[in-house]
Order: sequence, then C-alpha cells, then structure tokens
Amino acid sequence: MLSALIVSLKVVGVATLVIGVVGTLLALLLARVRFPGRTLLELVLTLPLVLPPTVVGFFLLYVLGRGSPVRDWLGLDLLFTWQGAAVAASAVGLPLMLQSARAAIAAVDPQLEDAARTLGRSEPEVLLRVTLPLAHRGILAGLFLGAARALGEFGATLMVAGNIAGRTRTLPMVVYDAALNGDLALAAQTSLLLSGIAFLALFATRRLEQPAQR
Amino acid sequence: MSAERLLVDIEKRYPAFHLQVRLSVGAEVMVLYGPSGAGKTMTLRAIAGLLRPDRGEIWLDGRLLFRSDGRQRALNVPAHRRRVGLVFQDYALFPHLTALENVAFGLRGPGRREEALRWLRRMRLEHVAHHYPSQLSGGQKQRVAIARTLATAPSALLLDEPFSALDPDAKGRLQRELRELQAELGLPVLYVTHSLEDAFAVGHRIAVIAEGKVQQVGRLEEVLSSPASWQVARAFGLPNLVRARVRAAAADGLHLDWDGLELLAAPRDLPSGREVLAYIRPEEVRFIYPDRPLSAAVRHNRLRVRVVEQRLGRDFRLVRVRTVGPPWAELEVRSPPGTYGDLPLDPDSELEAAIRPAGIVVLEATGPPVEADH
Amino acid sequence: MRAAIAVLLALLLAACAGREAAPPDEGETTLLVSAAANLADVLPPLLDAFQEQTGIRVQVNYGNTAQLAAQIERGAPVDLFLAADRQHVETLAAKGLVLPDTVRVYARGRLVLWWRADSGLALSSLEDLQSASVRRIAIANPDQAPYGAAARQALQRLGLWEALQPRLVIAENIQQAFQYARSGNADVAFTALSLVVNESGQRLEVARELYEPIDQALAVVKGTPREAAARRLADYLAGPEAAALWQRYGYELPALVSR
Repeated sequence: MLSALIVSLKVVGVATLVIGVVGTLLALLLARVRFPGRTLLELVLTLPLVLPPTVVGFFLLYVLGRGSPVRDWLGLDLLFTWQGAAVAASAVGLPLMLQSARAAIAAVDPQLEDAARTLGRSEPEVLLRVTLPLAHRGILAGLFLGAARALGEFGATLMVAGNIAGRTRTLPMVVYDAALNGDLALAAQTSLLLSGIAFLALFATRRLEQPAQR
Repeated sequence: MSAERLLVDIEKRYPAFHLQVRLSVGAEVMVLYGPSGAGKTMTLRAIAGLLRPDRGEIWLDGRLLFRSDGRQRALNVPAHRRRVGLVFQDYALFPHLTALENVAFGLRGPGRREEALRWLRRMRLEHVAHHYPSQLSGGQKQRVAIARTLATAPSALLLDEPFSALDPDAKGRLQRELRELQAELGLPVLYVTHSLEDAFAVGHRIAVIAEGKVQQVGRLEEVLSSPASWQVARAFGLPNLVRARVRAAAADGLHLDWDGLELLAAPRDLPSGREVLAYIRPEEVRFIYPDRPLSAAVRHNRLRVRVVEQRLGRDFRLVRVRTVGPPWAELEVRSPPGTYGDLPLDPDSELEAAIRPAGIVVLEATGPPVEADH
Repeated sequence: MRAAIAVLLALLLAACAGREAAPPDEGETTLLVSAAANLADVLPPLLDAFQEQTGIRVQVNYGNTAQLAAQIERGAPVDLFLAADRQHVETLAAKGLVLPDTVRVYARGRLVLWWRADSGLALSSLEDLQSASVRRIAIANPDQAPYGAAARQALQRLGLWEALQPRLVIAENIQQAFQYARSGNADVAFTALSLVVNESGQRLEVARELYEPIDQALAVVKGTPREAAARRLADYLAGPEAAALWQRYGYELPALVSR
C-alpha cells in the first residue's frame, strides 16, 4: 500500500498543479472573453464530468498513444507511466475545478475592474491585482475539489497508465484489486485512507466557500 | 470662464436609445443633471474609456482620447492610459485591500505608501488607514474613493452621483471639500446627479441631459429661470407649466391665450396660432393687496386664485394656489419669507394674483401633456 | 491558505524527484508484462522463480484482456502479453503488433461452477441450476470474458440458456463473478478453476465437451527493446518447468490435453 500511496501522491501532485494553472487560465478565458466557439469549448471541457471514466481513458489512449501528435511531435511516451496517469487524472479533475473557478471569476464585480482601469492599471495588472485575488476562494475551492477527484480517479488512469505495482498502481487500484481478490481487510484500510484524504480536501473546499467575516 | 479643458462630442446608438452628447468643461465643476436613464452614466463611462462610442471625439487638455468617424476607429485610448479619474456611486473600493492600499492602488514607485498616507491625511482619514472598506462608514468610504482617484493625479475628475447614499451632514461636508479640491487643483470636474440640491451645492455650471441629449448648458440660475425646452422643465420638475396659444407678437410683448385668459409674456417672435408650453416663474407671481395702490409689477396678467396650502422654507415661502378658472390650474407662488405678512394666506382664502410678463417663459412648441395635478 | 500552497509545492517537488526514477534501473533488465487479471494468483510465484533463475525482474500490469490489447495497440511499452484468450493475441498478430513466432497457448482454463459450502445447495450437474433454490447465477460478461462466453456456450448446448437468462447476474470478469457468489450476493458463480482451486466451498467442473477450450495465449510484443529477455520469459512460461505450477493453480497444459 505504501508504494501505491507514493504513486497516488505523485499523480495527484502533478495533476493538482496542472489543474490549477490550466484551470485558472481557462476559467479566465471562459468567464471574460467572448469568442466564437466558446460554448463548444465549454461543452468539450465539461464532457469528462459526464462520461464514464473508461471512455475518457479510451480517448486519452488515442491522444497519448501511437500515432498521436503528443507522441510523435513532442516525443513524449506517456503510456504506462505515472505521468500519463497524472494527465488522465487532470483530465477528469479539470471540469470540476472549472465550474467553481469560472463562477468565482464571473462573480467579481466588473465595476471593481473598471475602477482599477481608471486608476491606470493595464489588463494583466487588473487580473492579477483585482480579479484573481477576489476570486481566489472559489478558485482554490475548485482546485481542492478537482484534486480530490484526481485522487479517486480510476477508470481513465487504468487505461492510460495500466495497473503496475510500484509504478502506476494508485490507491484506488489497490482497493479495486483487493476487493476483487477478496482481501477485504486491505480494501477497507485503503478505502479508509482514501476517504480520509478526500475528506480533508473537501473540508478545505467548504471552508473556502464560506468565508469568515473580515 | 476658463478655457475649455474637456471636450466631448460623441454619439452611440442602442436599439431603444440614442446618445448624442456635446459638452465642454473648463476648470470648474460642471453638473451633469438629468433624470434616470438620460445617459449620464453612459457619458461618464465614455469619457473614462469604459464605453466605446460609435463616433465622435473626446479631447482632454489638448490630448485626443477618442476619435471615430463611425466606420473605422482612428483612435481609442484605453481607459488605463487616459488619466481620467472616476468616482463611482457605490464607491467601488477594493474589499480585499485596506484604505491605505486602496489609495495607493494607482501609484507606483518606492514612495507610494507615503504618498497615499498624505492623501488620507488630507481627507482626514489617517486614523482608518489600515481599516478595510467593510469597516468604514459611507462618508469615509467615499472620501477614500476620492482620495484614491485624486492620488493618481488625473487630468479630469468624473463623479457619478457620489454622495447620494450619505446623510445630509456628511454630504454637505463632502460637497464643500469637493469644491475646495477643485479650486485647489484646477481640474475640470464633471459631477453627475439627479438631485437639484446637489447641483446647487457643487456646481458652477449645469448641463441638463434628457433622452440621451444635452438639452441646455449654462449657469444654474439661468437655466432654472429660463429652461430651453419642456424636457429641461420636466427634468427640473418645474411647476407652473401651462399650455397656451399665441395670439399675436407685439412690441409690448407676446400675447398668449391661456384657455380664454389673455397673458402678456416677454416679447418673442412667434407666429399666431402656435401652440406653446409656457413656464410661469414662481417668483414672478405676486399677490395683490386689495387695499393698496397697484404697482407696476402687478398691472398685467391678473387672475383670481384660492390658496391650497403654504409652506415655509429656510429662505423662501411657497404658496400653492388654484386658479378660480377658467383657466383651471394649480400654481406655485414663491416669495421671500418676510413678505405677505398681512395677507390672509390660510387655505381656502381667495386672493388676486398677478404675473409679471417677464416671468412667463415660452418653451418651444408642443410637448407632452402637462400633468393635471401639478 | 499558505499551508495549502506549501503542501502543493511539496507535492510538486516530490513529483519532480519522481520523474527521474520513472524508467526503472537500466542496469538489470526489467520486463513489463500485461497479464489478464485472473493470473494474479499464479504469476507471482512463477515470476519469482524466473527471476531467481535468470536475474530478470518482471513487473506486471493486470487488467482485462480487451483493455490490455487496446493499450498495446496504442503503443504501450509492454514486452509480453498474457491474455485470457487466444483471439486477442491472434488479432494483434494479424495487425503485426506482436512477433508471430512467439504466439503460443501457455495454458488452458477450466470452467467450473462454484458455490459456498454453507449455502445448502447440492448441485451435481448443470441441469440442477434450474432448481428453485438457485435464484442468482453469476457469470462473467459473455461478450467480453472468455470464461463468460464458455459458460454461455455450455448452457446453450444444454438448452438451459433461455430458461436461466433471468437469473443471470453479469459480472465484469470472473473475479467479480466469484466474489458475488462468495459474498452471498449470488447463489452460484461460473468462474475459473484457477480462481477457486484453493478456496473452500463446493465446485462442479463443467464437462469439457460443452464449451470451446479456453486457450490462453501469449506473445512477445513487436518492437520491444528487450526482445531477447521477453522471449526467454515466454519460453519459460510455456515450458515444462512452469507446468507444475500451472497445474497446481488449476490450469491445464495444452500438451497434456487430448484434442
């Protein structure tokens, strides 16, 4: 179980980073910029939320495997690596984060941004000094939610990274294998560990969503 | 009046609204006055660079901020480089920053905190420098907002109904401070309000805007006493608006037929038969003392009236009367507080009144029906 | 808030550190084998013995055969493929993704019916499944799992398929089917002998003539840099030394079965 914990932490760590950076940028884009095809992009990004993870995994298999630009142009062979698992985990965690982050950014009073502009701040400065600080709670809450999802991710990572002990077997896979092989004790222990971590993440999310009075 | 510093000539079309504003502001406080929906906030936003007009020009201190001929935009300086300060109606203070940080927001360089502190001191706010906006009173918030804007040394100051949410005391103080600041800094200030009281308190000149157009510009007293159109009259909520028809334009004045009653107004060249809206200045309606000889002021335009009620203000007396018609109308009569002491002005007393011809201002031709219960 | 960011940064550092260790030691060879999930019991001892003999380490990626085949098709870095059937290996061979001369049947599975000892059931033939006391029959998905397909064949050949359809509980694979019966959620399960060979409980071997042999094939993946080692492993797994272990775990060996 320890090796699975390490794999899970690595996967979730990278996934959280990816979700955080990409998610924030996308949330800003979707909340503030009108461009043709915006709705389409939104829908595509929300798909992993509603599709079965195995389908997402299957799709990623094509994106990351033989014949894909990622493999051929970037020279990145991510299949059966924990980095590939991180990609899969990011893909399923991102839509969750997007919902929360986008709402938080859209909720920032545009008048405050206008005020910042009239005070001489350029657009990037307005983003960094007004929009993001005011939306940070919702963004972080979304991030924790996405990270929790990434932690529990199973179907897609299984497809992309396989179930290799010490290399790509994550905690959820341990639970699955243990349950299947009748090792209920291990299954229960690992489930408890997973639940504990997820609980902490969700608790943090809740605290962020209900700000204390300043 | 000083040379014009801010020149605005813009146009913007919406499906149900057409904004056409031409305005020039010198080193003064110009009040932009009008009812809600007239286009005041739109105008401010256009000047600040937050709204892009369809065509027109905006100049500030000889710098061109915006120009467009309607098809291609030749120039549109982005808001953050216009050096136009905007104070919002609901303060728009950054809730995640302290008062000091708010004021320092637009400043750069190593000395910004000291500079911000100086502005806070000037607005007598140094004791709340480290408070957050949620901990400040309305008046304090607005002062921080003004300090924040002025700290960036803008070339013009725009205020959007800045004191509407304050109690009269705080409002009065802030209005005085604003006038002082304007005098000290010599900035063109454009002050948007829908309150006539505010306009009187702060403004040098007034621009009346209604339905997207600037209807009249001038010194406050002039505009009030001689509204240029029924829109202006309505914007001021002026009383004593009556409908009449031109009988004849003569050397001694314009003869009007007000529902059978002949009125003599100030001379004006209008064709007979023309329907006009006339404004009878409340200050120019006089009551007649029955037992005294008639003075020149009350020789013309006599009519019988019955008192409805009277109201005493700080420096005026307002008597509402109803004509014993025809014509039937309610009129307001305004006079200095010490007058008419011997006349019976309690409700239902009947009196004779007279209107000085110079006090009848003809507003252009036909407008919408005057409210019956004026 | 700062604590959360600190934790995230720590994870990132851990991730970066982990990046270097991803491809395991270049010093000694390590093979990656994709194996059907039902081999989870029998493979570890086999591979331990192999490592002792040859010094070659083997890592295993367990999964369901169809998924494993898809991964290999998309270029997953697998050296050897141990399927739960023959068809997927042959398909890969037809596509030129595995070395054709390494394709061979390494074991043959046996289909059994299993039920708990304390269930009070007494079944001596498949026909007994029609008894009213058998309410739920767990079976691996016949369209995806070879054992499930075999169970369906057997029932169809006996004319019992239609009648028993309503009582079938479709599991994702034979492990799950077995778990259903073990946990009592199903009364009996069609599963692999290899799964229950060490389990308490009652079982009934399904007659061989009732279903197509469940041949499990292996093949070395084409293009692997560790081809030589992979071939050695393939030979070992399909060879006489491994035979005893396969049998102990409930598999038959093709050479020993009469056609």
